[in-house]
Amino acid sequence: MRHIKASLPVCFMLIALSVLYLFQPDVFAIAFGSPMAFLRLLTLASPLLITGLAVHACLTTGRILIAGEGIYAAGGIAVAIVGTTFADTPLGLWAGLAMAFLIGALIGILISWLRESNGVHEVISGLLLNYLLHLLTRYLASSPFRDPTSDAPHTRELPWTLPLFSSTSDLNIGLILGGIMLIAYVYLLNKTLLGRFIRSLATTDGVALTAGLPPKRTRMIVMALASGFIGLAGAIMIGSAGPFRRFPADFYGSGVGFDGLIVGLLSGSNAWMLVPSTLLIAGLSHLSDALSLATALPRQVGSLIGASLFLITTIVRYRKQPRS
Amino acid sequence: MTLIPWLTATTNLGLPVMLAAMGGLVCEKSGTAALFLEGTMLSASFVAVRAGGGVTGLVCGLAAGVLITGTHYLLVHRAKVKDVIAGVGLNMLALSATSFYERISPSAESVQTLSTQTGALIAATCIAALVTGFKSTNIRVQLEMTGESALQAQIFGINTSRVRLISHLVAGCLAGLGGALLPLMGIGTFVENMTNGRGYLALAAIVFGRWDLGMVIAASLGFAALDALQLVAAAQGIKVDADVLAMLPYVAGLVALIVRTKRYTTPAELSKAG
Repeated sequence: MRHIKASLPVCFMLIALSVLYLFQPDVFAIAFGSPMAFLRLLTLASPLLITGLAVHACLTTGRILIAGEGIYAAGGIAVAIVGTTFADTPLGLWAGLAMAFLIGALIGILISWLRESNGVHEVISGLLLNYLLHLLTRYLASSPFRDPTSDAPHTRELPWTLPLFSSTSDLNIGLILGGIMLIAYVYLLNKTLLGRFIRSLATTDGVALTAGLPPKRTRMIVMALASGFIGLAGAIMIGSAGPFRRFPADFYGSGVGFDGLIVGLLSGSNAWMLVPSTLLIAGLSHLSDALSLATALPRQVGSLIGASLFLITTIVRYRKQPRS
Repeated sequence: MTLIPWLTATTNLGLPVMLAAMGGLVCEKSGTAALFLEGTMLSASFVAVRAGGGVTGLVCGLAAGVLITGTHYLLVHRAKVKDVIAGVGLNMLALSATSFYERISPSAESVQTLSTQTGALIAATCIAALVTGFKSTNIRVQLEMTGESALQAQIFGINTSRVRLISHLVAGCLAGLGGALLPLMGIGTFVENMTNGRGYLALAAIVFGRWDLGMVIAASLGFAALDALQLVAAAQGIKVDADVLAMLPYVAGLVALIVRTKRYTTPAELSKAG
């Protein structure tokens, strides 16, 4: 049973691919049958890997980071505002990325502070912040920072572009950042003493306290870093070429935050499982696009399957510990 | 001149949140986190409109609410899934399922609606029933003992499973009614993500109201009064950005969570949840 639980994302992925290949070979060909389709899948997966990793890191300390959707948008608007405000200076790019990280980290600190000091569950404060950030980013992009030369509500175009992997796709440096973060994260958790103490926070504060690690402060730092990296992922998406380089007013709702939550929860205790989980959820999103092209089904079929997987995973994996 | 429209809008927007918050309060007092309110309200709104609105829609919405909270009960207290995660999962499923079905087959543009007076009458009846229930020593003791320590409650002969099941069903009825009233007292149709975070505002009202019925009702109406400002401003032609006004209830909700400092009012079993 333990092995089935650990390899849940891989099982889901294999079942989904087999069913698709057997019953909808045309859709399979559109979704996965060409190098371009594979690049598109990786493009969708790169921000998901970062948000999923952030959620996983918070889960490791016993906390749920659910505000990813709002933080992702906040990071995007931060880089758009700072990048266009300091367009003439060479530091505009770095200032924009730093601001996106900082804004994300501050939101994480607020959520964590509410939990650790006021006892307010991070899911309640996180979801309220999501709605607030949605309205705030939409207001900023459509009123004070709107591009006056365009009819569509979005910010002005950034004067610079983050590098892409190829000229034929939107695959950006987010994938490299996600890969480096994953390796560093797995090393920290599995190979260092600090990582082992952090992991113990999911079940008890006692072990960390014995080692002199303050549980509340540690959870706050992890939540701040995780939120900061989600903000950075949003900034990378806006700062890269392709459909963006300006922040559209309807950027919130891309689904990266909530999909990242599913990725984080699906991965369980093994951080390497983030890779198949990310590919599974990105694949679902990619597949729903292909399905809506090939059949009359709406795109929402992807989120419906994702939510069902989420519930199945919770039933299999997130059980309450029996009391001793 | 703007007071009457504002009060009417506050009532229309406030009653659904208030009913959901009352349902969540009952569930939280029995020691289970009521994260499912958003999904319950959304499902009830959807079903109420699909059933054609009116009293039939109201009853069907209520049934949908009970179905969702009944599922939550099974997940949390039978399958032993963590209550917060089960609630979030049900909310995601409700949002994706209603959006998916709405895209395949859109709701009728207008169904039979209910008047503000009817909504107020339903809410008043629910408040009276809840106040009577909380005044009954037997019910209150069973509910609060289960919420404080299920083990000790069992020692005193309380059937904690039954208490939790009933509290879930009451929560489903109230949140279902609240969700059904949202389209039936408002625009008379269903739109995707119609609740738009009102279930979470109901949760914020419970936390801000410190699990006290009167305070929870006051907090729900307070949030709704801020929510109603955008409707009144639009009707009166006041030039304030709609997004800025729409932010007010969420800002108030967050401020409410920040200023809440007395942790001891939280039911003890709830503090262990998550």
